Amino acid sequence: MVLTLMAIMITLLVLGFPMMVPMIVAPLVIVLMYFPNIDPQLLTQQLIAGVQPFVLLAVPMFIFAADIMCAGQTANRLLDLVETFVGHVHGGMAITTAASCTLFGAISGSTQATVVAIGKPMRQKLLDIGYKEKDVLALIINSSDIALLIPPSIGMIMYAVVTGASVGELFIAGVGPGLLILAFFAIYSYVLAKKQNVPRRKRATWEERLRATKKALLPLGFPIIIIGGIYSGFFSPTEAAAASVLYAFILEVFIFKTIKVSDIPSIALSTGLVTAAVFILVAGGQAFSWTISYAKIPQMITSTLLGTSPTALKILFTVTLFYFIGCMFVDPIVVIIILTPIFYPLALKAGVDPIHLGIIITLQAAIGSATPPFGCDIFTACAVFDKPYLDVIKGTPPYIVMLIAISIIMIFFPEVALFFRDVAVG
Amino acid sequence: MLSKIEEAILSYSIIIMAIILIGNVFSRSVLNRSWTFAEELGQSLVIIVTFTGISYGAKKARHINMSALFDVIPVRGKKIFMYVISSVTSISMFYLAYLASIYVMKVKTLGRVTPALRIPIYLVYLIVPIGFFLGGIQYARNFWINVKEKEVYLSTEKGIRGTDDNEEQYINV
Amino acid sequence: GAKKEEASTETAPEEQTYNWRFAHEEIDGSVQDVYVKEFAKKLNEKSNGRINIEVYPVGQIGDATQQTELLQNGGIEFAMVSPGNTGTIVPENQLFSLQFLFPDDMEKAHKVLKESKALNEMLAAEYMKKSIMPLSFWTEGAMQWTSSKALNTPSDFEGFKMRTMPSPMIVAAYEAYGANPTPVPYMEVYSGLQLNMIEGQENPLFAIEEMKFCEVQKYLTLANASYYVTCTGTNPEFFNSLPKDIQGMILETVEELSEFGYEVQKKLNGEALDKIKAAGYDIEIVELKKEDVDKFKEASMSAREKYKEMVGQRGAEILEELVSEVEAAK
Ligand code: NA
Ligand code: NA
Repeated sequence: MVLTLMAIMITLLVLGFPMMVPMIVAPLVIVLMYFPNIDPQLLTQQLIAGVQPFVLLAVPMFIFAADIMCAGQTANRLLDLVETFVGHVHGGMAITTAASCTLFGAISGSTQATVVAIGKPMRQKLLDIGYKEKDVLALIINSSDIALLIPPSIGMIMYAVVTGASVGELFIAGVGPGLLILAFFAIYSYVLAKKQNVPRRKRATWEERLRATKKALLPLGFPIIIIGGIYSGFFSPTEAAAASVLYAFILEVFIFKTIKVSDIPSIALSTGLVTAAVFILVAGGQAFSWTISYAKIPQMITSTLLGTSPTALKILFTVTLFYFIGCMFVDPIVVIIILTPIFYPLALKAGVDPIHLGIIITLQAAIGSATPPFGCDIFTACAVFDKPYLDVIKGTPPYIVMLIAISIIMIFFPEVALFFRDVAVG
Repeated sequence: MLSKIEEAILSYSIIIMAIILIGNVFSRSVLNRSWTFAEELGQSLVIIVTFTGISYGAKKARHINMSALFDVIPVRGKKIFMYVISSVTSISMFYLAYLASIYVMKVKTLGRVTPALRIPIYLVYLIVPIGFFLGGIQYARNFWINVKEKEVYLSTEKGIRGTDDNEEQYINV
Repeated sequence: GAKKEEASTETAPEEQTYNWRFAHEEIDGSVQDVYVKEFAKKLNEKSNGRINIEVYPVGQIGDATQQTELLQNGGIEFAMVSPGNTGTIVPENQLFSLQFLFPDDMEKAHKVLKESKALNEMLAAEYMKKSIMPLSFWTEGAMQWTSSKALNTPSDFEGFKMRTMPSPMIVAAYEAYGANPTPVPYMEVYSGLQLNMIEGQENPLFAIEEMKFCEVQKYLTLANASYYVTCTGTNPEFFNSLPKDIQGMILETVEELSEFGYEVQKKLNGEALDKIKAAGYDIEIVELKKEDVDKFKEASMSAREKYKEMVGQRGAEILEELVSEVEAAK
């Protein structure tokens, strides 16, 4: 059954079928072949269920806001401001991109929304400066995933729901590894820019910086509205996405007057198209994961792999492998729901700290969705930037090396995650 | 005509989502009354966008695929790939449309409604069989244009013109 | 699954074996999980190993609504059909969302659930119309409130942003006190409370403890406002197709589990409260005074009218019957 499933998936995928076909057809074939008691029409229920979570609304909203900002001036003004401050540093703009993705992803709670909202304006700017497309895309998709580790993280809340671990402790424990990855990426960006000799601008004078700041004053309201709004409890992260649409709309239409109200429907259309291309895969991912849960495939594989009383180290490596592979196809949240109940009791028995396990799981979920061959963020980037698959993944190998290194560090040195937790909890 | 309707659905669904979310914030904090229907309306719009996008995305050749192999093979190979991909996809979509319509009928019989507005949920779900059906038609059209024309077409609106040194450029139709 | 079926036929080649699926929404070791595992164990024993039940926890194959739909379509044989999540399928079951309706005393409430004609006959008939056969209505514990300010009387709820499920009846129950009921997805509740987007929420103690809501709240009010009721359900077509002796085993098991479920929830909710107390949260645990309960009860009457108006004649009859049964139980 596992072999049939994989064979269908991979064949259709490699032949270049639209991803939605393998995602939906593979589970359909499994149901038809192995589960005569299930009416195959029930897979429709799972397709719908996949796009049901309310928090998914943040994705089209952030895409929409980004589309409006890029059509007008908001994005450029912000970018000019950043450039006057960091444009003279090797890799300065790339490092800013990584930091913005981390911050934005932490707030939006969606790696896909981050790819779009930060990636879209930043990519153009970085290309203009002289960065290579492959490096830019790899930077964007990988940095967007750091967000899963920075609170408020939906992945961690899901883990807490399934295991009963403390959300607060997970949040604190995620910060250390999150910043560690950001540091790795920043160093890499610096080295790469220096090696490639990416053009730098002259250090801006304070006068230029002041001028750029003035121009960017209103666009700077974005982080204030989003972060302020969420942390003051005025709105939820999902609603913050819509608030940023409203703010972008007011700025561009009424203040900068760069776009007209009548332009909005066509911008919304482009948002709708990208959203649909991503969400049909989210829907398919649900049908896929439902089928493997129904068939109890993960349980089958883990029991063969792990035996009855595995060691802590063996469990952590298996966890790493499973979440990494799982998140290639399916949204991290779904993978956490399906796999965590299988591993959690085993890990607990082997003496693994539940918070440590939670961080490893979140980290792997993040890595899996950004690394080739498959990953939801790769696909999102393909859809948003309308780029062929190979172009999107070409620059990722160095990131994979860094992330694997960090995974190993995390497995052997739980302190990276637990230090802050232990200080906070005492 | 159909394209226009699809465009309107995609575009206005996104706009309405934004309005609902913002309206709910306003109503909750200023009028001190939350819109209990915000969640189900938002969810319904997401479903509508997702499934309307099947055929529209197919028309614009914007569905995500792993094109690694396709990108490196010669033009004649690409043509064969397009025959296989568009025909198999089209048939799958029609079959899914069939399954989804049975599901929707079943939901209709069981009479489930949305929590707040109590709208029969099958009305929202109707977009699923419709979306797959229109998707099936569009992939059939993508197949047909590749049969009819000499060039390779990724969709009825996006073709590739191959040159001798195997570099391609897109042609818009 | 195929492998397992072969294995079980091997052990009892001459006899018919049964492989069923039971889905529930809760995590390992929770009330539903313990109940369902016991259900599977008992049936396996009674049938000398001929009945094997695969358990699907944590909504792995769908949330409550999807599980119910799978049950209706025969994709699974048993499910926990919690009324709180299935009011969109059987509108009459929303009477479980009405507050201060059941006796405050847990044991009496348990008895009403078990013996009620209104529920086990009248309401069950409404379920049957939707291809769901309720085997037992039982409670997983009383609903308690956590909040950022004290909630001692109905007037404390004035304008209070209370997180609820998106069910119109739960919303109406809190609107009856003048609150601003705010439906928020379960996943966003913790951070919503932490950031003060919502000010309070309701859940049984075991869920409050599991989700660590006390980390971000100031008050835990043991209100016993309503009971979190769930329903052990099966597919009627499936059930009726079974041989009489197998049907008997199922009904007997459900009967035996009635007390078991009651004890499990009592133990787990008690332990949850102990854990909350032991964790040293900065939280005040409040019990409602008798006269305040009366005030809430009075304020909650308008929600009952709303219920009758919303679900119609049949629902009104069921509610009236239930109210008289509750009176009789006192
Ligand atoms: Na986050
Ligand atoms: Na991946």
